[in-house]
Amino acid sequence: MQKLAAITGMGILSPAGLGIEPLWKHCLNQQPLMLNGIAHVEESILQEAAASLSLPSTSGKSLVMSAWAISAAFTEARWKTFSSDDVIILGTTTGQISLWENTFSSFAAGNVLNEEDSQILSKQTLSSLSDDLKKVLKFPGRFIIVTSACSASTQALILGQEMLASGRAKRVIAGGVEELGKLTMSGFGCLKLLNQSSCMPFDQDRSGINLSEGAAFYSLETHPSTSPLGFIAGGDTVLDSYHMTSPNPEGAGLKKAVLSALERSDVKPSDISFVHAHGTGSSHNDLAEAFALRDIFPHLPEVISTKGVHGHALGASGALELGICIQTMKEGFIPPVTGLKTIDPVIKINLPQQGLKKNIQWMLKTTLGFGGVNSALVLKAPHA
Amino acid sequence: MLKLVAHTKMRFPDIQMKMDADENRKKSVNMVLASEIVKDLWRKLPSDLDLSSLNIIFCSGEGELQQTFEYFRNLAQDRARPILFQNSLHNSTLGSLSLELPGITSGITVSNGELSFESAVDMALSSPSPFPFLIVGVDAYNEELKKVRSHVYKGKVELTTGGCAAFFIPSTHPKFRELKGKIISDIKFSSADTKDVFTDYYPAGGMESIAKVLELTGKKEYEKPGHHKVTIITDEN
Repeated sequence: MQKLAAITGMGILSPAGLGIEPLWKHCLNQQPLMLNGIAHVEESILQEAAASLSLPSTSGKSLVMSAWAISAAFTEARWKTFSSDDVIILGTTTGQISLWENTFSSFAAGNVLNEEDSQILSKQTLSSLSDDLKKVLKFPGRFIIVTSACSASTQALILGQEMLASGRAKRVIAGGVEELGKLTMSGFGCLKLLNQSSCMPFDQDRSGINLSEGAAFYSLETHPSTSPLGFIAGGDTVLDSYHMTSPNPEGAGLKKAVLSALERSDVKPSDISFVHAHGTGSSHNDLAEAFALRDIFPHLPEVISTKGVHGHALGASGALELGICIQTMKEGFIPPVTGLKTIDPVIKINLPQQGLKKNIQWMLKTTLGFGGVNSALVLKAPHA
Repeated sequence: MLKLVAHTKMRFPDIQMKMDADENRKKSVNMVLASEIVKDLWRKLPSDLDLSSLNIIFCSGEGELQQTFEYFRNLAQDRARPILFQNSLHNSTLGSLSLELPGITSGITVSNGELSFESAVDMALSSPSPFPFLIVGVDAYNEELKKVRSHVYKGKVELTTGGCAAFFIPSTHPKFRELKGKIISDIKFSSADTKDVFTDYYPAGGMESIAKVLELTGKKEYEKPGHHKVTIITDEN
């Protein structure tokens, strides 16, 4: 039996700006937000977000982005106050890294810490972000931080649906936040995964990913008092048990995750009419994903990646792209795969290079992450 | 509901010798600790238990702090090492464990500070999966990092490198009635005006506290640093 989690509010802060509209516009116009291969959230966007919440200018980037996005989701859902029964589930990989990494780096290089440095390093634990958010939002409920690499926020959303379906929460806000730090940029650089220009998902000449940042959160509830933006029907995560950083080449883990997500959602593969893929533009990811999707969906629903527009927001990517999924269902319009010029001949999925109108009832969102973490989320349109 | 079938714990001296083993050359302390704890837990399980499908929740309050420290130490000398970067992710220990446990179906990493293990129990209680839950909690510190962290705790916490693991089966598991074990039906979180000093402590070590209170009759509550109080609700029927 389906146990739907209604999405009643959405808060998105991306390199395109505040809210889904600017990001959606960039997707429709195929306008990449990357500069030298990286999509940053500009200072002006952060200042606007911080000012709207009366946050001090010294607040960390992740705190500002996630507090703004959570507040926007809360407001759209027309919730009046947070209660102690509410749950916030946040996916991230590095938390408030830009607050502490210089001090940590200096300490690692052998410099002695003073009292102020020690205070700064208290921000290193991911739970410092939830502690700060609790204060800023006056949130009295449970807070959970999921940190399963690039699948983190997708898992947060799946967990949100599970908590509602099991009755362990009445209202949930779930999503993710990611800010770019030196650790992330130098790390992906040394793994030789970065593309200096805009990425080309599923293209025969794809040569790497674009890093990006942002925050996206959603209000989830079982008995909404407002018109839902869509529904999370269910999801699952399956591990590849194959390699620390590369996905299983045949997409075996992703295939299991998608099939399990469909089963948990009580939906048949043939019901899925649209897939928003992870589609990073890395050689291994796109192949694994394409093989898995081709096997499960022989009816060839449209598959897109929008990372050619906004880049890869790592732990926040699933949540950020859920906003595009919701907008796609709402508008009945699938944006094209930005950056795709010539489809890799080995890839046999339906990748639209032009936008197209389509009435979507059921759709799928996938994400893959380091550690072989494959997540799949089944969404139902509000009109379905 | 979850039935606790087995649990175990370890400290760094228990695995110190293993750190130099060839198969652990590229592993962090967290990874080796997690691996050895799971091996120990497996020895405590009934031999006929089906382990071919598992949910795993890996928890760490600090994540791969040591690997991050080493990455930055190398970066300061213009040597960014890929292995240290990939190991610096909180999720890397889950990835490492998954290579040793091919039966893992669902897997997730949670890093929720002092309540990391307890949040994992909360998550397992929410899951629709009929498969067993392996929850592993690990935190590791070298001496330099221990000093930094102790400073943050203002001397009220004496940190250790440690790990714990538990094997739970959900009420939908076919052997739920047959297997012996304490039943956890709920976990609740509240705040407390904690004045205690915590010794031999690591943030992800919640299973050690849960194991202690499960032996008590009456209220099953404990406190943790950060003014947290945890209440375990059991079902003895």
